Amino acid sequence: MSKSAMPSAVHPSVLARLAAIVGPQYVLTGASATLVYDCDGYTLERQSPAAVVLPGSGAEVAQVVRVLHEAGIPFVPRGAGTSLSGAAVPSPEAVVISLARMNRILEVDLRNRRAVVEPGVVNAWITRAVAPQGYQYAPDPSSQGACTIGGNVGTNAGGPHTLKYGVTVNHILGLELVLPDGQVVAMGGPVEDLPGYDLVGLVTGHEGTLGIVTKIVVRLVREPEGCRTLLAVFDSVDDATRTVSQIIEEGIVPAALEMMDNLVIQAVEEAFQFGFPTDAAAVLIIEVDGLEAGLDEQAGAAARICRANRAREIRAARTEDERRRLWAARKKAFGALGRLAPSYVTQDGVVPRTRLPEILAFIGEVGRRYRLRIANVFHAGDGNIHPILLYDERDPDEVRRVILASDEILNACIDMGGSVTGEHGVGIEKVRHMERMFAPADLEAMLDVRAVFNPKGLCNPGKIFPSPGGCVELQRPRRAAPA
Amino acid sequence: MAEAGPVASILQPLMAAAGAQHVRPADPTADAIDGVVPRLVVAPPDEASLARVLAHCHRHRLAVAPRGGGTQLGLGGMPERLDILLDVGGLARIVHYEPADLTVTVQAGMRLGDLQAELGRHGQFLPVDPPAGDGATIGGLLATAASGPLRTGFGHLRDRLLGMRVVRADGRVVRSGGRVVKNVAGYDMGRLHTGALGTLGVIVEATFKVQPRPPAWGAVRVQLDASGEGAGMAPSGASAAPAAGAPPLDADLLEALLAALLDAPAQPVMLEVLGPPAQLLVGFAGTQGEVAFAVQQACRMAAAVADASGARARTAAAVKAEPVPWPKAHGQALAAHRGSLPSLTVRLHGPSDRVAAVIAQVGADAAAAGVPWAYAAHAAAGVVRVHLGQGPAETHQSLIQRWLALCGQWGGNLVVEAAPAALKPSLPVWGQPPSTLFLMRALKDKFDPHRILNPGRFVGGI
Repeated sequence: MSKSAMPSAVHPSVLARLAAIVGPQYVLTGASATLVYDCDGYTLERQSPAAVVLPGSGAEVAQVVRVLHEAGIPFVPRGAGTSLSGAAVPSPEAVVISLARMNRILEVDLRNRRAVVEPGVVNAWITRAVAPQGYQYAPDPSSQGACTIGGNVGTNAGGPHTLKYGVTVNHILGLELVLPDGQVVAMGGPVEDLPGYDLVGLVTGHEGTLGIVTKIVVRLVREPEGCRTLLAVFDSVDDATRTVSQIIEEGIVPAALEMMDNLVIQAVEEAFQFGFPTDAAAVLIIEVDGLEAGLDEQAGAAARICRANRAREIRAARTEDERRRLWAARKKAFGALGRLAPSYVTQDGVVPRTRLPEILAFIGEVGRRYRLRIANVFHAGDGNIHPILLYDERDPDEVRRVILASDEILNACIDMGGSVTGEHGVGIEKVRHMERMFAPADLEAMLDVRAVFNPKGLCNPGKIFPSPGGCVELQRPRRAAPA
Repeated sequence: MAEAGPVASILQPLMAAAGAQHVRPADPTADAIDGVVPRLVVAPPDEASLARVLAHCHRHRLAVAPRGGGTQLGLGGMPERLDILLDVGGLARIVHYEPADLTVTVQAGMRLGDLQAELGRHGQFLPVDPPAGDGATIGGLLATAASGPLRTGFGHLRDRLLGMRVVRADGRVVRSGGRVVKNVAGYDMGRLHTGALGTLGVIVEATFKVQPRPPAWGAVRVQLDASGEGAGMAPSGASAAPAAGAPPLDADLLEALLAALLDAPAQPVMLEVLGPPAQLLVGFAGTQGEVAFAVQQACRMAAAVADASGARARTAAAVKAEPVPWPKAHGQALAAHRGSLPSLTVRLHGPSDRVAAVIAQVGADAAAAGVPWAYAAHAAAGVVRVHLGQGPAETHQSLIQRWLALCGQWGGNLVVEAAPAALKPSLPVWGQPPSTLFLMRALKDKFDPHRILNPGRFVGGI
């Protein structure tokens, strides 16, 4: 147990019990040891936990939870801490349970297309483990090199290729869950469609509010035989978004359909020198995959639609290396934006795909009205927008305008029949938006579910749901981190 | 067996809630569930009146069974109580359909066929093909989590679900999810109601991700026992003969075929095993070029697998793979899932790589017991549907118990989808109760504290 000047809010006898379970070196207390646990990828709110525990197995998680439950101490599960909504931000009296040590792939069964993994396994590791045999784990969030499967289950994470392959919940077959009182339950499993309520589907996306996931059965899919990746360059955002709608409308099902606007193109080009045209208003990355026998036809059809919508140039990735670099540039776009402004905040709204031209035009108008630069890089095929509002935190008036503009954009998403979060989760960031999206009865039903799993509210309190009477204040944005 | 309480006492308030013309007495045959006759049938014309009906039933502890197309009413345990058959057929509208968004919002009482017709006008479809057919309603398909051969390529219906409206037992209308294809705001309540047999609420509306209809479809039929008794006759799962004449299944050969087809670059959208006599129906969808390639590849692969198992000379010679038109193959697969044997239907769940072994074991057991049998399996999903013909009750019971244990060995389970009412109380209708039953019961307590929704019909007597 690390020594600290300040006593932990957790009673020493509890800390001793935790240390006895996981080993003293895996219980951290004190400001310096717990500093990195004070926030996740959503950095607007920071709070050091009372302690951090790093269990090494599901059994240890269960024992730790039992101790905390008995002591009435709240706890917060944490994977890699890449959440963009503050799902892993602790309250001051809470203990963070880090699952980072539980990072083994326990079993791979290609014939039945599944793998059993621990929650701390990094998303990309699974595909890396099965790619030599021609398989993959399909959901690919941009942070897949760092984010963990446990966290993906928590947020029901998406990614560029979810357009064709679906989001996390479509790829989870079974879970082992430590309930907030320490009981361990297995739900779903390697076999599909087991009788009973679909608890796996219910728990996926729970943001840690229903328990702590300690084992996951994931679905594997056959890697497509081939793919074609196109980069289409447009002189107007409107032409690009119309192209997106039309591709979907004409029955092409791309594996991915991503858009970057001029600000993002500039930042990415500066960072990666991929060869993006920095004067373009927007580019689309269009990928089709499947049997080689059908790829040129599909890619040709997509290209025709681009041209019909005045694409000024269409490039095809000629080599696998070129394709990889294109995707690397896209997935690291958020990081590259740091070059454009001291701070930025990323939003995660969703609109019906046909409303993309409208919401993009609206975002442009909001930017002009609030005198803000807003960059757009997003999953266009899904209607999942990620407007990135650039600002300088030393300018309080600009900060105020960022908050107002963000809110206007999210409200517009709701008004268009969309959502305030497509893949980042509610966390603490969007708690106050839940009441705008849902009626009280809708939220009551969800709280009924939470009450069954987490009756004392000890497991990840303060997330997703507005607490009665307590209205979360508008937060002051600082630096926001990548998707 | 039916116990019809006094109808007059409940008639007036229900007529007030739903409208007089939407309440009628129950037909003792057509409206009964497992022989239990409801006191009244209520068919509310809209969501608001359906909510009023449920609120009334909640207050007065009247047991309710929601009904859509009535195609799967045999699923589940015997109703513990049954006062009101709640016909959802009055809610049969498309609420919102924007073809360019590939999403559709539809009321739960709409029949699948009617929805497909509308989607088809825009070259789209909801890729579900329940054996019960186009007469099944959207709500019924969701409540029973029904699936068909197309799940192999397009996933389960639950994977298409984006949002849902549900009337809770107490009449509160609750919405979850939305109309967009990605949405993680709050719990995925739609998932909870999918497959819940209406025991947590009555589904009144759902939004789905629809699919552009692929331009080309193709299929391959692989006959595994072509040299056997069945060689000469037109094979049809629907009219599958009793086991007597069919040669035993070569489970190793079948498994080798399934493994090869599932590992191939051309991924099937349908992979059904049916019999006896055993045959495999493999379906593909995509562009003309893709389908032509896939069909050829599957034929070649079947021949190669058969050659590789050449040591077992009998079966190698017997394997015959040939392209067949998609509608014919798909229709045959659906017919085999529906079955034509009158008595019992059991669904066995196991890992995909055990499907061949399960079929072989089931066949051997049925033959030994002298019970006529037929089967159809979604090979990729590990679902084997077994139809049994007439036999002594004890024989049926012992076969089912045996197969439950068989599935259990591999982490699977079993569901009795249809059985004579008299037999049900002695059958493990929902197989082995899951270890999470206590959580399921707690959810039921929260959502339906008076147990008015389908009491006794779901897992663990929920």
